[in-house]
Amino acid sequence: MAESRNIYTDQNYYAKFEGGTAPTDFKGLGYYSRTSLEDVINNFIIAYVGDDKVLTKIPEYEVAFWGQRAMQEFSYDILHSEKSLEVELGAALQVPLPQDYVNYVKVSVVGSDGVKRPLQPTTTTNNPKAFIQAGDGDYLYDSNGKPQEASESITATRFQDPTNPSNTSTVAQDYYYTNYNDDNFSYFNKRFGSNPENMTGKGSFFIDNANGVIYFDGTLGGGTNDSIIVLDYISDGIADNSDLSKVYIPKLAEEAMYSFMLYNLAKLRPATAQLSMMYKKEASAKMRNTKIRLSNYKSEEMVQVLRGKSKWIKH
Amino acid sequence: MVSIDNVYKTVLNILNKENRGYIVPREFNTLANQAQNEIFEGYFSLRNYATSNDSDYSDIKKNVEEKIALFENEETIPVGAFGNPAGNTTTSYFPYPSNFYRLGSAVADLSPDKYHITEVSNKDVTYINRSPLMKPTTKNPVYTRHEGGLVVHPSTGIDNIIISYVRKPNEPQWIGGTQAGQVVANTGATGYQNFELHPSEEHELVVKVLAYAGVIIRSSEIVQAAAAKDQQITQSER
Repeated sequence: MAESRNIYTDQNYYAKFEGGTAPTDFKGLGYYSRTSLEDVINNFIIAYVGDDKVLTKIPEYEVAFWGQRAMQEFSYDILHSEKSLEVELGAALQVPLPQDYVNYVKVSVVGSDGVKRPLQPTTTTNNPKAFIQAGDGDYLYDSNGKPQEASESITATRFQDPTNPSNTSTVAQDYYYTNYNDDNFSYFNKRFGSNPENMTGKGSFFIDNANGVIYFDGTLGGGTNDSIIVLDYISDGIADNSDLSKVYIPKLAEEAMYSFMLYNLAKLRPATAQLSMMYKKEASAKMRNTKIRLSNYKSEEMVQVLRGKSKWIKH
Repeated sequence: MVSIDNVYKTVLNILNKENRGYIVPREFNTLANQAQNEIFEGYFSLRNYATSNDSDYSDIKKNVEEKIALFENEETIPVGAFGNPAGNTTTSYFPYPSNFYRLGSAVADLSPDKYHITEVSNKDVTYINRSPLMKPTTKNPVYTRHEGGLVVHPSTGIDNIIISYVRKPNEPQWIGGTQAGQVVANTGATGYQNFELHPSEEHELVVKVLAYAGVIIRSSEIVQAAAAKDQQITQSER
């Protein structure tokens, strides 16, 4: 009944990796772990919609709508972020948000060892709208009577200023040894009462969502190792929705996606609204299962992590 | 296929009994076309209330679908434009074939792949075109109905569509004359056309033609008998 899902010969599958030419329709190594949203929608229409089925008649565009909504919701909550962008900080210490950005997972600076060190976002500053003012403090207006705005606020400028005292990299040890060498600093290296989020050795950032720009503080950049920033972020998964055959979901989430679509299509229709609560529970349970599946727990890896911690692990 | 000659002769036999009357071929052909159209159109509503079961030959719903399937057709239609007398031109327009009766489905032919085209109302298409998640693309197209054809969205990128449709039955026509007092069909004559309905419809065609013929010859007896028979047939098809 069903055709083989192995769509390439082994030789063609490995061709690109081995330096050859991949098939023109090559979906990439590891394609078998994913299925396309187009396939999900087609499968749903055949399996769930029709005479003598729960949903007797649904237009395809509505199924496609809920398929894409499922993709969006799953991207936010369930699927793993596959988006990661490396950027070298320029003199402006700013990074524009990617086109398909929805939210960030982590902003890191890359050390000389190639390891990402997460940066903490700061909540103590931002980039407020700044009206240009005359010497007497009055706002300046344009020909339409609107206040003229500065391209960047002084608040953000100072935050990014590398000469700002808080951005000056002072090694505490040097400071103490230079100034208080003879004193008894028993509390040295014991910083009671500090705010842990500010104790990172690296800088901080904030996101100006209105303008779509990430601002980094003045401790970063300057052509040093601290210039390489990696932005891990989530998208909604359907940035390329003009062709749903190129929107992929993990096969481990396929069943949950059907349930999500069934629930949302059923709840809108009087004939099936009574069943929608059952579908809701089913969708919720399958989403939970999918989260567990995609958490990627491997029992032997877990055992290795807990080994030597006086825990008796049966596996 | 039902032999029009059989139907005509049966009708004549019943009408002529006790010299009630006679209908000439020209009148018969008109009534035959009327009867065929009535039965044919009846399939589309009958399908909705016909019972269905898992048997091979007694699934009435399946039998009705089988009768419709005799007229199912497919045709590739290139894109065109439609102009109305007011001077408006509709682009991305795909005209129906000349023998079109009812539309089944339409697919966009983006060779080698084909994509189903969903029907939407003219009211909804405006919203759909403005919805980021539902906006039609060449791989998820929609169509609206239009006079004599379909209008496909998006308006560019689709040059051919393939429609599955039900065609009109050809108009039945009996041609012949009398030889030695007997009615004889000239089946080889140009334009001679049998009924195209399923063979099981022969008796219903006779009954329906008789009912109309009874009106023509003003025989209430024929009309009543035909109506009773027609009712019986209708009941048996449920």
